[in-house]
Formats: sequence, structure tokens, C-alpha cells
Amino acid sequence: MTLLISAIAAGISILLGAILTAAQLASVKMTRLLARGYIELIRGTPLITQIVIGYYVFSVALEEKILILFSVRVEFAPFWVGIVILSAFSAAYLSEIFRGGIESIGKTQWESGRAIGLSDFQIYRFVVIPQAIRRVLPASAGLFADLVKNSSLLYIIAVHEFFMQTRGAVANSYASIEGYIPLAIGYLIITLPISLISRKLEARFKYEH
Amino acid sequence: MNIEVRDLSKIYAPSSVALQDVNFATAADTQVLVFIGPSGGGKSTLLRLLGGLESPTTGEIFHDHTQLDQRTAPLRSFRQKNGFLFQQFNLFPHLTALENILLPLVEVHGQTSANAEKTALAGLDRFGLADHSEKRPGELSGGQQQRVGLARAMAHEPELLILDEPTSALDPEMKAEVLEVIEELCESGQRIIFSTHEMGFAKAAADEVLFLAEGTVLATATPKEIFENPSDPRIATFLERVMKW
Repeated sequence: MTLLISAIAAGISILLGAILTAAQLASVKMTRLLARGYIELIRGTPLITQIVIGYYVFSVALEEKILILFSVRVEFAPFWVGIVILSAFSAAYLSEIFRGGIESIGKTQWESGRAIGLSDFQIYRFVVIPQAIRRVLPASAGLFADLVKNSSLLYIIAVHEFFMQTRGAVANSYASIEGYIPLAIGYLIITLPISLISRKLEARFKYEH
Repeated sequence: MNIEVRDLSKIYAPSSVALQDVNFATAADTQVLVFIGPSGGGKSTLLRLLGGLESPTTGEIFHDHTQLDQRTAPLRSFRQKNGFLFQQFNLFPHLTALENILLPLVEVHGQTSANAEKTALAGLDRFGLADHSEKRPGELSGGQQQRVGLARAMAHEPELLILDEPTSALDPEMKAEVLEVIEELCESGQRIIFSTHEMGFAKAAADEVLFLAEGTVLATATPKEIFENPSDPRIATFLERVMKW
């Protein structure tokens, strides 16, 4: 469950993070302000309050709205609400990493791109983004490891992920050590490969000497 | 080529005036135009304005009697017709030498991959880089990188080739290898404008020399006139100093 939640949330957050980055780099002031405001809001509040507000306020309000508008009674499963909240949270951090990576590509690369007649869009696509990817890999991998660990907080809205299940088992058996130590090791088993894969990818994208 | 500039100024900030009221016109039969003068005198800025990489604050530029349109789209298509080489950091570090040349051919000039590859490999071969096509810039020497840059700038047969101090960042041996290639281009009839601190090369290669200092053109003349009988005492002082060693 933890793995599934993290994997889906990682996918959505990459997409959402990319959109936020584009909004931040856009020449339209409105989109820049919106993206900036969103990022500051997410980064300035604890994840646990976002989970509670997302589940008990937004999710419930949306269910009501759908009932009123379409006369359909839906109930969002905590699993999906949890994924949406985690994605929204990680996307804000990811987009800051992406923006940093893109802005770290020097002016001379832009100049070179313009000189050979590329459009700004083409410069992003062929010159800036391919180089930025390598620079953001380490920080992104760290964030995905955080995402896996943060998914444990979803237990408060009754998502049956790793932490909650362990907690249940410990409550039944009173065996804290036997429960929580393997739990920690379990998280390590998930997060360590992320670092390894990131190293591999970095090596593949390496071109500087 | 015929290049004419009228009342051209480029002012970045009130305290940073790169060019001030520049006026000149080249002779009609000039094929190689060379900019010389002290650093910070405006050579780079003028090259960038002539090449459409930047827009002037005021003034007009004419290439073969056609005024350079400063709007985004025409400026971009103007740049696509020409070739550029800067002092350094020209190449894209994540692409191989070959890919660096292929990118504009395919994405800007719409060539098929097969055609582009043929052109690019011929270009690399011409500049003595046949063995280095699969290397990334980080694996090449400075001189080789500049020659790849030249191959890229020449691949689409530009009307005008603009080189901004192409050898300034190189050691003497690499300087020589790049200058030899540029010399070959000059002799092939390619229209070239370049700026340089290599006075010997400027004298040998130029049809016409433009002396820039303090953001203005002090003289436009043949190399013989500039080097043997400079019209302005500031040019004489400059030449005396740089030729001394």
C-alpha cells in the first residue's frame, strides 16, 4: 500500500510540479503569482494539517458540491484523497527544485541557442531541460524518499498503509520493538533503492569532466 | 557585402553606454571585415547588433541595403541565415560534436536526419574533426571545441559568418589551429565579420578594418591604411602598444 501510494503520488507530483514550474517561469504575471502563492502556502504549513484539512474540509465539501450539482452521492476513498494531498504537497517542493535546475543553466547556453536560430521553446526543449534534468536528479530523489516516509502520516485519515498496519499489530500484541523496528527497516528497503536508482541515472546523464 | 549603420547606440544603463552614435558603411567589395580595438570598446556589442542577437537602443542597421527588422520573428529568421561563434562556451555540453551540428540543421532548417548527418559529417571532416564526432565538448580541447563551433556555424551555408574573438580563450597552439581554419574560410569566399586581438591575422585576412574604442568607430579603412598610417593618434598608440611584444 505504501509503495502504491508513493508511486502514484510521485507520478502526479512530477506532472503537477512541472506545470507549477512552467507557471513560475511564464511571462504572465498572474500565473507567476498564483504558482508562487500556492508554493508558499504548501511549504509554510505542516503536511499533517494539510492532510486533515484536505480530508475533512475539501474532500467533504467537494462531495457535497457534487451531490448538489449532479444529485450523485460520491464518497472519496481516503486512499485517493491521501494520494491527491501527498501529490499536491510534493509538487510544490519539486517545482522549486525544477526551477532551480532550469535557472542554473547559464546565459551563454541561451545565447548559443538563439544564435543558431532556435526559438525560446526549442531552447527549453533541446538545450535547457536536458541539462537541468541531471542537475535536479539528486534533490528529486531525496524528495521521493521523503514522499515515501511522509505517506506514513496518512494513517490519521485511516489509509491502511505500512505505518497504520504496524500500529494495529503492535496494539494487538504489545510487541513494540518487534513491530516498529521492522517498520523502520521496511521504509529503508523502499527508500534505499531510490538513492541507488538516482545514482545510476546521474551517471547516465553525466557529461561534464 | 554592404553593411551600413546609422546613428547606432546601445545603452544598457545611463552609466553603461556600449555604443554611442556609430556611423559607418563598408565598401561594396568587402568580403572580410575585421573589428579591432581595446577591450570594452564596443566590438562585441556591435557584432551582436549586426547579427541580430540584440536590438539597438537607437539607430538603424542595413545589410545589403535592407534594414534589419527588430521584431522577434524577422530577427529570428535573420539569425537563422547567419552563423555565429563566440569566444567560448558555444557548444551544448550534453550533446556530442555531431549532435551539436545536427540540432540546428534538423530543428531549425528542417533537414531530414539522413541529409543533416551527411552535411554534419562533411563539416566535421572539413575542419579536421572526423575522429571526434561522437565526443562531447568536455572531451575536446578548446581548439577542437571552437572548430566544432565553426562547423556548426557553417553547416547551413550562412550568408554571413560572425566571429566574436574566436581565439581569445585559447593557448597559442590552439589559436593557430583555429586561425588556420578561419583563414581557409576567408579564402573560400565566405563573408565574414570578426573581432580579434590577433593583429597579424587581422592585417592578413581583412579587406577592411574597423577600429572601435570607447563605444565609437575611430576609423574604417583598409588594413594597410590602419596599420601603416593610422588617421587617429589613439589608433597609433593602441597599435604601438599591442605590436610591441
